[in-house]
Amino acid sequence: MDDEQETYKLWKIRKTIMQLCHDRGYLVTQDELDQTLDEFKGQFGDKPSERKPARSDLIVLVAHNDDPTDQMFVFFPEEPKVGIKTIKTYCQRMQEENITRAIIVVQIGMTPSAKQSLTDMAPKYILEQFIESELLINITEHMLVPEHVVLTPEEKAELLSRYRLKESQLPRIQQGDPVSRYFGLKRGQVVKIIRNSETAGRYVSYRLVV
Amino acid sequence: MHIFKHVKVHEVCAKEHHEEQFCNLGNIDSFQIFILISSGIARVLPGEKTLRMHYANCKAYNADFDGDEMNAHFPQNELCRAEAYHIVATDHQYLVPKDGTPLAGLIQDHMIAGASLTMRGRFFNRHDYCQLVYTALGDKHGNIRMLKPALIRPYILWSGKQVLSTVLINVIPHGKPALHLDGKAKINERSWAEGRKPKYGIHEDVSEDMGESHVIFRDGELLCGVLDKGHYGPTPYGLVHCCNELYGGVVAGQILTCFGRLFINFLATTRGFSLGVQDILVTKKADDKRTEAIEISNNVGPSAAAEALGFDCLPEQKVMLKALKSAHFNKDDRQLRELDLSMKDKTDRVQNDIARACMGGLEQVFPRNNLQLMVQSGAKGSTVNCMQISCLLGQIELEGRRPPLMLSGKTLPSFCQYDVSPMAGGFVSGRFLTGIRPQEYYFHCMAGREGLVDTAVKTSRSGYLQRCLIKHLEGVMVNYDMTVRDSDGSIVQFNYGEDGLDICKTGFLKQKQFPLLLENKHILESKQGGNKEMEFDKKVKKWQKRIRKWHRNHGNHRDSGFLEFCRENSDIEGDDDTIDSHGRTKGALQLAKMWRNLDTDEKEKYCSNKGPCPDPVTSKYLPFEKNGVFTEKMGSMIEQFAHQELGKLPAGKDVKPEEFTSLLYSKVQQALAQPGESVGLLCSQSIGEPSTQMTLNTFHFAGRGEMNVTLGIPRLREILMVASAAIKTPSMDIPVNNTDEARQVAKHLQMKFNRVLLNEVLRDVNVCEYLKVKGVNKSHRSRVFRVKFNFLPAANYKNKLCVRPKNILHYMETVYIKHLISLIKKKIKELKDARLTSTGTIAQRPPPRVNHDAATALQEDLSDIEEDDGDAVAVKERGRMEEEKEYEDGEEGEDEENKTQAEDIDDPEGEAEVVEMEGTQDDLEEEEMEEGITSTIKVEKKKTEVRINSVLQSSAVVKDYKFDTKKEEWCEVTLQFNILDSKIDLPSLIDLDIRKAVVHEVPGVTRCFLSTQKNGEVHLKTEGINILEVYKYSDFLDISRLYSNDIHAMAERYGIEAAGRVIIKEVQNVFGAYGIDVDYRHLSLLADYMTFEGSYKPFNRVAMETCSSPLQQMSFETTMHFLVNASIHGSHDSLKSPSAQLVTGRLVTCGTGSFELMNRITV
Repeated sequence: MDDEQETYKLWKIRKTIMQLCHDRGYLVTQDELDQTLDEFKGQFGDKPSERKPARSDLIVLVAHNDDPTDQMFVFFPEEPKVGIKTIKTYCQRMQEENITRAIIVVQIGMTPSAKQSLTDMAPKYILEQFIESELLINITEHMLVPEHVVLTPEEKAELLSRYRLKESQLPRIQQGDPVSRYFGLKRGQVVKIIRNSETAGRYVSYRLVV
Repeated sequence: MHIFKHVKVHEVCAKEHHEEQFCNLGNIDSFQIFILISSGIARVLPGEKTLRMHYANCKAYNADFDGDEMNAHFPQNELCRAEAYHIVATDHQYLVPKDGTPLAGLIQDHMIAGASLTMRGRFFNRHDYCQLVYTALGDKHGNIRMLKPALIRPYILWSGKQVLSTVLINVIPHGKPALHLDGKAKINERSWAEGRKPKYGIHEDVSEDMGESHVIFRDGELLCGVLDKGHYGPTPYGLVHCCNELYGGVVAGQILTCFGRLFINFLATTRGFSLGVQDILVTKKADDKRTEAIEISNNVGPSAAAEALGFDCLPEQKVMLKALKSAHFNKDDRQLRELDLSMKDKTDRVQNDIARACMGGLEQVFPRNNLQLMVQSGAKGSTVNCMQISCLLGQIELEGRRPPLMLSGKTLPSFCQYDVSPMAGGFVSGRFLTGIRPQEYYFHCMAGREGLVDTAVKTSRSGYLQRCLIKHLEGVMVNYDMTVRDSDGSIVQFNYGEDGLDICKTGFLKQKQFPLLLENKHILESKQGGNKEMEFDKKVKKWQKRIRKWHRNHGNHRDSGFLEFCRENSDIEGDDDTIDSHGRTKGALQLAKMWRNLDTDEKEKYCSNKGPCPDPVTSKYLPFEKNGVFTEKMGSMIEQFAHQELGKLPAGKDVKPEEFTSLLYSKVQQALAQPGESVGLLCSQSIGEPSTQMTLNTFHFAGRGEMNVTLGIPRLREILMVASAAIKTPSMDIPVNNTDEARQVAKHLQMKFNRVLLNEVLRDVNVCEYLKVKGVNKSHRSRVFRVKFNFLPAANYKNKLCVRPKNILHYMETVYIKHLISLIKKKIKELKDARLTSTGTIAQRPPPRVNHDAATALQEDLSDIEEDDGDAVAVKERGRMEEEKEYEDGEEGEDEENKTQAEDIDDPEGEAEVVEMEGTQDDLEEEEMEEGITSTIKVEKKKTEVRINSVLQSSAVVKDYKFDTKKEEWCEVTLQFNILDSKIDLPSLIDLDIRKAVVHEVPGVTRCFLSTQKNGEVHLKTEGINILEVYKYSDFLDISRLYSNDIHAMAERYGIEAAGRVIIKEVQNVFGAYGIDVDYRHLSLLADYMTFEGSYKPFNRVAMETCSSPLQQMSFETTMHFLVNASIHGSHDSLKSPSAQLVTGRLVTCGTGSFELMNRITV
């Protein structure tokens, strides 16, 4: 793949990542969201083949709006198929900087053992995996994907009491669902889904993450 | 539903004849129709043993008179009687829950009578007028209100329209205002104009305003227009439907009854009706035109065939015959399909010409033509029938194709081989009026038989589909808090159909029908008891205001307080380009720091109005909790209508927007789905019933070379029952951005996405086979194949395919030759094996084998039984397998097909052998060493050498490889095999294989088209899907509107919510292709149920495992399996699901069964 295409791809991915961070409630500036391809080239260079930028340059650290200590890394590993070694180095860095959340944007995939290590570290360090090709676009902008809003525990309790529900009686959404991955949802959270409806205009539904 | 005792009809009559009227409930043994049971009031005739039923209700029961039987149930208690009178009565079952359209209506003779009664120029004297009105209103108590005559001089006369008006006015209950209605008749205005033409001889202006097709009612009086099927037949928004909406079902039923009596009486006493040859005769002029067109049609055959087979001009007969023959015996019948299409195209044109000539040239013109009157008024028959009588029968089609060719190449024995004339292809130019030929008759019968077979076969399929739906959805009903829940209390939808309204009651809550509601405001108000303006709840109003404000302020998708802060302080971000080790600019970090330092008040200032849009009112408050709660769609419709239309009303009649809103609000309030409604059942019936009407399975879109889409019941099964990840015809549809550049790129992409097969670029293949003898030894003799592939010049496919000669040669060298070798080796192995097994006396061998087989089979059977006796589990296991197999039988045929296909594809790869190379390599290296010369030409040559060597190295059997170094238009490979066993038919092997070899493809996608939509937008459509590949072109394609019919793929890429939307759209598409409209609420319930668990769950027994009621599971399929599982896990049944309640003999807690009276207990 030539440089032009590669740069374009990296720019698109970083853009989607920034939008993702913003949608999760992390602080991202307007300029970062609106970054054009030229600005990206100016900032990082336009020769990925000569490591300008190298993938590791694209790393992002964002802090949450509500809680400054809640920070999230976005890593871009160099190797196409990420092994357990890379994961370990990332973990070390997270440990050093006392950060518990990270996204790893892999080029092609991960080795099974690396994948296993992600789940092993689960409650303490939350590492999520995305593939570059799926970050070329932002799926939440698709016309068929409705607006998803994560409910706070209080809102969830209110919902359950309002309809006199047990948790298991709510409709569900899988944790591996693309949209729940986008928002980094945890098991037990509830998302409010606001659909555009042919009959009602807007229709509100809820789904429990399982 | 309460339990009714089964009583035979005549017993009831005998017992109850002292009572003049009683209520009985009828249910016919009907299949898949909505109203299985409905109650009616029957008069018991003294001394007779019959119950009579009005014809209009037959449709609700799906009853006809071909020997149908009906069960009558007699209500056993007061509760049941009340239900029979007020809920199940036919009067209250006027609308179909499928889409809210009427079910009952007058038929046939009524329409003819009705249309001719209300035509202009029909007058009655006092005697006839009174007689007609009296027969219609014979059972009315009290005075009959008469109208003043329309004509006073020269005679006192009443018009036909007045007769009808009199009946209508008298049926409308006393004290209720009469209705206003503006509508259209079914009979076209143009038909009336045609009838008038010859009389005056001048061209008349065809205007619908105040014409015969413009129906106007004012104060219950028919002022203008002819009443036909569109108003008293089962047609939505007709007179009866409006009356049902305004006055209720009882009045609508009354109107039908009275009109029925009036029309029949009028037809029997005054008009009469008959049909003669004159009605179907065609004028001489038109007949000549028809003969001319048929003459032409006889000659279109050859040109159509030439076009389809790819000849530029008409070929000789011999050549054509040969081409047709090869097309006939070709495995994929693409060419024959093309022939069908191009032929149909031609014959359709002829057919249209003839139809236009004949239908315009009838001897008698409407309305004097009785047949036309029948068809146009909707009494019986269609234009197709008229065409078959007086024009031609047209092209006969079987399963969407022309009649198939027999092995001999004829369609019927009486035609020549490969006859291309339309007649031989099933085009019937004869008509019933003048008779058809025996061959034509035979074709016609074939089509007729196909229809019969189709219905017989399809009913079982759609029946099973409906059963599956019902068993899953049986417990889904509306609850008191407006949610739709399954019987275990889990929520399927938070509002039924997303707006919480009942389908049957929303027919007039559409913007198009608002004028009608407005005109009949007084009727609606009288129903509500006076004109009172509703005071909306303050909280609701406030909330609505908040939403409106949010919409005013927001257009931007992504926004937050911090972003607002960033925009305000954009000057701070100076150092843009340098990034720290965390990937952020200094400016960004500084901004974040500043943001953190702000105190909460200041933050609040930025954040105000930045939150997401407030929830809609409907999800905040329940509609019966607070006044003024209705959906946003309704709100915007009302607002728009009030804004646009209310101002146009004349001065005296003006209506304030608030008044209109509260009118609509009370209407919405009454339209809410009632708690206890079994919406799950309605949904499954509404999908099951129309599926019986679907016949053809696949459609070809817009003729030649276009996409194939699975439709009909197979597709419905795929979506609803199988939910398979590999659907038969996956496709993508992506809009192209509206720029010239994007369209250019799209053209390029279309080429790229098209798969290129080897045979598309090949001109010919020459296979030269010879023997080579090196020494005396037998093993030194070998068979050599020299295969030369000649490719088409690049100019031939440059604009069609996405490959260049270079790519093709590269493919040949790296992939195809290896593949070919492995194929040959496989063939050789087969030959070897065959020889090994067939050695010896072939003639004697088979019989003993058969015997042997039978014996062993018997033995095995016995041993099976013995084994089974000892092992009870095995029996069960086997039983279970058989049980499951029973259900699968239907699917098996298709599965097998798929399997074999899959194997075909897999095979070559599986067989690919790694061939070791030994001696050859050394030789090659030596050769290479010799060529140690350096010059630019030599470099080129060296490259060639390298390529050749790589091919030679790939396998030991490759002895030589040459290719066209200049134009890259051919390549030649020499293969050497051992002489033994290698006697294979290589040309035919290659011939078959090149149709499968893929030179270029985007994985998953086979074909691609650019199609222009109706609105001028260009769409990229692909056969097969690869969503990730498309993401790369997000600058040129509108990815946010990408659509695919593969529900699994969409769920995987865009999540379960998007998949739910796709389910709705796909089911709509399936029904849409047959012109069937199913209400959105049913489909949304279906989609929400299927996606309830966060994954795409089909309606089959695998998904039944998750059902919470074991008894419901068991009553579905594989009873033993579910029973065993339930006992192993010790699961319990809370007896909440309808199945469980029926099994245990309880009252089903759905519908009216879900309520009980609460008694106040005084101690």
